[in-house]
Amino acid sequence: MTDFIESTPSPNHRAARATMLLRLFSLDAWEPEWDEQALAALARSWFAAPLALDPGDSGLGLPGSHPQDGPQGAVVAGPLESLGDLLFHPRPPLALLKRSKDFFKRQTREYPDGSPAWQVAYLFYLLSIAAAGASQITKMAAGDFLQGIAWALGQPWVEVRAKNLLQQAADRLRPDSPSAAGDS
Amino acid sequence: METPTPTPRMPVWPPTDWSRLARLAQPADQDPEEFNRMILRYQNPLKIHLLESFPGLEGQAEEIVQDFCVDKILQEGWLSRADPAKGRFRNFLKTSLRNFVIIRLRKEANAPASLEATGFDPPAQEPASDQFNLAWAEAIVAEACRRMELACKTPRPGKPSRQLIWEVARRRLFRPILEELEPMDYKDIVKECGLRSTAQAQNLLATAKRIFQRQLIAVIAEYERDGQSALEEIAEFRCFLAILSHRKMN
Repeated sequence: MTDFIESTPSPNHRAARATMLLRLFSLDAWEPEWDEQALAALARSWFAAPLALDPGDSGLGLPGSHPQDGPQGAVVAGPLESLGDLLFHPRPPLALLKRSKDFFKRQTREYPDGSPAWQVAYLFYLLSIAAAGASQITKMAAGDFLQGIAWALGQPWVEVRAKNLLQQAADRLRPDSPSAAGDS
Repeated sequence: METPTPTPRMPVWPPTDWSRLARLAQPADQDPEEFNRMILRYQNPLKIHLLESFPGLEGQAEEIVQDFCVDKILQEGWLSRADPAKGRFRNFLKTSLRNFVIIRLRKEANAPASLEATGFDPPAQEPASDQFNLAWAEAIVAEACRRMELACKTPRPGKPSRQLIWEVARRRLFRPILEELEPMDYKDIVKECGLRSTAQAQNLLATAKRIFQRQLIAVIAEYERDGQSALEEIAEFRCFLAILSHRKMN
């Protein structure tokens, strides 16, 4: 039974084996007291996930994650090496945020609603939208987005900087908020 | 509004201080069988890393990895140089192997000094490698699977259903994932395994998942510091595998 491991010669074969292994790494059959720590650890790992797709590298494969690829070709200040760098960047490239949003949207479809893996994927889906200024990369209704943010703000495993980003996005969306008035 | 981050709970597992590997590093306490198993477990990823770094050494890869394990892991004090604060144990092994090979090559070329003698300070983090990480993930899954099978098949007083846990897991969890077969219908499992009901089969599967997850953490906790670090390692693998898996769609 345990003699199934073989070498991994081709990229497609590697991807297939990764899919298979991922299912065994994502059983999420924790003892209940472990849920929160496991969710927080998974979120931390996603923040640290590398963006660039270099030969032999295990990045997210978001092309153009270089400083010269900022909005309208402008040079982006600060490094853009990890997903966290992108989400918390003062002027993040919208194209990368859209790809990040699409990636995590697909992730949410691969796991049962409400499962730990789904929750983390949904958080990063929301964060990608929030970092882009909400309406710029999604057609999601503002009400649905705010509902998602309310859910995320209520999760104890979501770190403060992520909550701040979501809160700022929510503030901008509310018509009576000062930042919303400033944006209009 | 700002929701405070909760204080992290204490890890469920006590710190192991890299216990198993550290034990193996002490020749007096060394269990040859355990040592051989450990070498075999990570030999494949180490060979992959070796060949990624030194493609010209293909014919000697096996011998070099064996020598590396014997020379380094058995060498007293070597593990004490691994600093968990600098990163994952996997990366420490990769850096050590690379330096081991460079020193060996220099010696073979009759070069005057080793890297360490010249004060070379290897980086704490090796660049990521899909092949290496995938092989490492496969190694720990295979080991967790092996241990689970062994644990379930070892008769224990008061635990008559352990063999059944394995049989249900094999049919509903491992074969569908590892052999890409359809999961067996619960009704058929009930019949084949002589169970009382589908509910019993479902309960056994839930138990099997918990056992496998515990084994996975245990295997990782042997080379990471403790259970919490093992959780972080699992999370890192989940991201890595999700990214790699996603690439086939692009």
